[in-house]
Amino acid sequence: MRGCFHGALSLMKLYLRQNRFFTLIWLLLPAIWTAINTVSSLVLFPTQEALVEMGVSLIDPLTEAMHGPLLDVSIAGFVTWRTKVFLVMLGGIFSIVYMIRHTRLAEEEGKRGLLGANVAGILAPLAAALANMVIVNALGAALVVVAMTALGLGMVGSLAHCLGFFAAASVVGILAGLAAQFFVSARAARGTSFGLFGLLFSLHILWNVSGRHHAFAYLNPMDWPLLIHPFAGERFYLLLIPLALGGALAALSTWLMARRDVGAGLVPQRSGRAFAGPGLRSLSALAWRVQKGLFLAWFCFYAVLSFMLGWASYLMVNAVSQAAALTELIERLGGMERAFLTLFLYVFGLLISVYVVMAAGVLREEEKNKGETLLSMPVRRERFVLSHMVYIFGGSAAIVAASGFCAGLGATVGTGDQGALARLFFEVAGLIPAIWAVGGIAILLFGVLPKWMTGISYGLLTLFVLMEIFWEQQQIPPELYALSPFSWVTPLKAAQPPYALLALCAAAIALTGAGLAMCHRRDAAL
Amino acid sequence: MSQVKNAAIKISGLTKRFGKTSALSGLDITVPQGSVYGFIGPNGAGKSTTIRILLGLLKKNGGRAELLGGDPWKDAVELHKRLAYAPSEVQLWDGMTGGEVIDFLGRMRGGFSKERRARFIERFYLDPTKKCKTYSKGNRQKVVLISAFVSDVELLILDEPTSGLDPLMEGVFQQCVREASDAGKTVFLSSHILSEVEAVCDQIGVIRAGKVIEEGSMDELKALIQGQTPPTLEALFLNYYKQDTERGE
Repeated sequence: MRGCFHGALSLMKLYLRQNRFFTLIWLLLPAIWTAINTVSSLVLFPTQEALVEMGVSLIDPLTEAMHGPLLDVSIAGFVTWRTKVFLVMLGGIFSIVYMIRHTRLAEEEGKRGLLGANVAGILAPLAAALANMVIVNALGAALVVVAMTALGLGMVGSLAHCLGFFAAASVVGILAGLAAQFFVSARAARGTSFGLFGLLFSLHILWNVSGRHHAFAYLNPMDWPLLIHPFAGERFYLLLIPLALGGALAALSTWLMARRDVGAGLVPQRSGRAFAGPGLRSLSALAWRVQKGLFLAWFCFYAVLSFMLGWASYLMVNAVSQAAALTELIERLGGMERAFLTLFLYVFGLLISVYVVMAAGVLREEEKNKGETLLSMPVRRERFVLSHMVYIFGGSAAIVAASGFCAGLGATVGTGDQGALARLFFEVAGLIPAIWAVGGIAILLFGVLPKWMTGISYGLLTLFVLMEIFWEQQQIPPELYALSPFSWVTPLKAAQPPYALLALCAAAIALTGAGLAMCHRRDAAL
Repeated sequence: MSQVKNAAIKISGLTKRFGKTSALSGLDITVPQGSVYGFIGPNGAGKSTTIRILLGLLKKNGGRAELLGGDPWKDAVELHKRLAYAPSEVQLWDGMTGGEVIDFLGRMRGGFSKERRARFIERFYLDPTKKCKTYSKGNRQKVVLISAFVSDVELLILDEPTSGLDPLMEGVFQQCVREASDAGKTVFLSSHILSEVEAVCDQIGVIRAGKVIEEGSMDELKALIQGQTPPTLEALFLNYYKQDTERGE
């Protein structure tokens, strides 16, 4: 068994030398994020009274669903409360990507075979990846402790906060290492890991909304940073749970690794059909083949979750605290229940623009990887782009419509309010033009800067979200906020101009048209 | 110049830049109809760029390019009905089987028969029921080669199509090229495997740093080779390298 781990140390050094930029961001971002939050909280709440007054008013139902209850009304308590979800997400995502890259992706690309045939024992790559992942997470957490104590927050509470998110991120990484044992393709392993992570996050939100204590929360990494109670009577003994769980999962993945062939998975590969079905004869059929997985996953996810949201909306209202600062807004949106659901569905719906960028990303990948094969066929480039635009525009609209319909249906069933179905459907469907505008931007980028399309699209989406937040906090003028397509559909504005939706549609059409024209003229970006 | 009228490909003074780097700087080649044309040169010489311009994937910056009597950029869709292309770096659809890809590409191109498909799959010894993501590089190349040879077209453009094939399959490939040539098709074969070019081509163009430095029939080139020590295509090739480095110094 000793020989199985041979070379693990050398591999750890090798992995650390690769993707240094990736590791650096993973290492530094938690501390930077926490420092920014601490400094801005210190500026925002100079006195304890200011904190109690303003800080508590900042807590709206959405924030509470995301972060859970605020345990301690102090700068330290506020900072740990505000940062923990982001820190776990960040650490978790980086850990998943890192683990899959050094386990399944390396195997898929044949690097593992190369190593295994030469210097490394059978378990060494997995062990090295796990060890590095835990070390980077630990170092990142240590930097956060340093940053927090340097800024004058208590040592013990900071330590509890950091151990909480360190444990969560590490266990999520270990889960990814386990998922990597099951599937032959890195994509399937990564998808499963992110799916699991998303499920844990959804459970976290659901439990927060329900406001009750669940025994299972002790097993959910997303809940650990809250349960450890930083700055509110730290419960360090809870760390025994992640220790035991992480150890067990890591042992299980090495056990599975030792029992399978390199390159093989535990989920067997099926052999496919020798002949194509009669339908596979056009670009549209091909686009369906490559886009359907993404589309159906989003469609079902949104349909189910929207129904649950609508159905549980009256539950949430009871759990939501009555924040005085929100009363005006709540009244405008038609009462507590409606306000909550409207806001939630707005944010939830806007996230569908991530799907738009992902679907456009599929188009880009198709061009990059298969463009030579595909565009040397007797096909027009515009036809190729159009076959994917069906999903970028039609698919996203279908997901939004399904979300609205299911939320309305859920609300009707849950509350007996007959008018909810039509009201919520049209409310959510009103987001479609804003989401289309994002699609228009993506297509324009595809035409002008294809190699940068995905990066810039995600960058712009983040910018739009930040603009929303800053506008809400009145830190940017409405004229600047108007540049974000979301500003034209936000329910937070007292009134929208009657032409808002038309203008968004026109913008989407103009952007798309320009993108198509540029795409026709440019070199294929392979 | 008597061949110009029935040239499958005619390129003169072709230039292509990517930003500041110049990929092609005044390239001239003529591929007679019905010939097997070997387009040889080291990596990065501009072979793939030339082919991508011929396929209308890239836009030329200057010069003339004519493909089957048409403009490769403007008449791309019409011209693509008359040619088949096998790229060098083959990426296929992960979730589709090799058989599905061959059928799909065949249907898109048209002129595709089940009998020929079965024959080529057997000759290249391909398992068409495997998902593309599990294929090795050689197997992915087989998929696009089969789909190119199966199609009933005038021109085959093959860009380093055998870099992942084993010697046995290399033999099958050469046989298929000869048969295509016998059937009157033009074959444009880009390669840096000199033995392969020697074995199947009757016309040769040698490209180096975006320019054709030697072009002619295989016999003419053989005469040139005879002057080398030892008398091989490799030696001729290495000499060009040597001249270049000497000039560079």
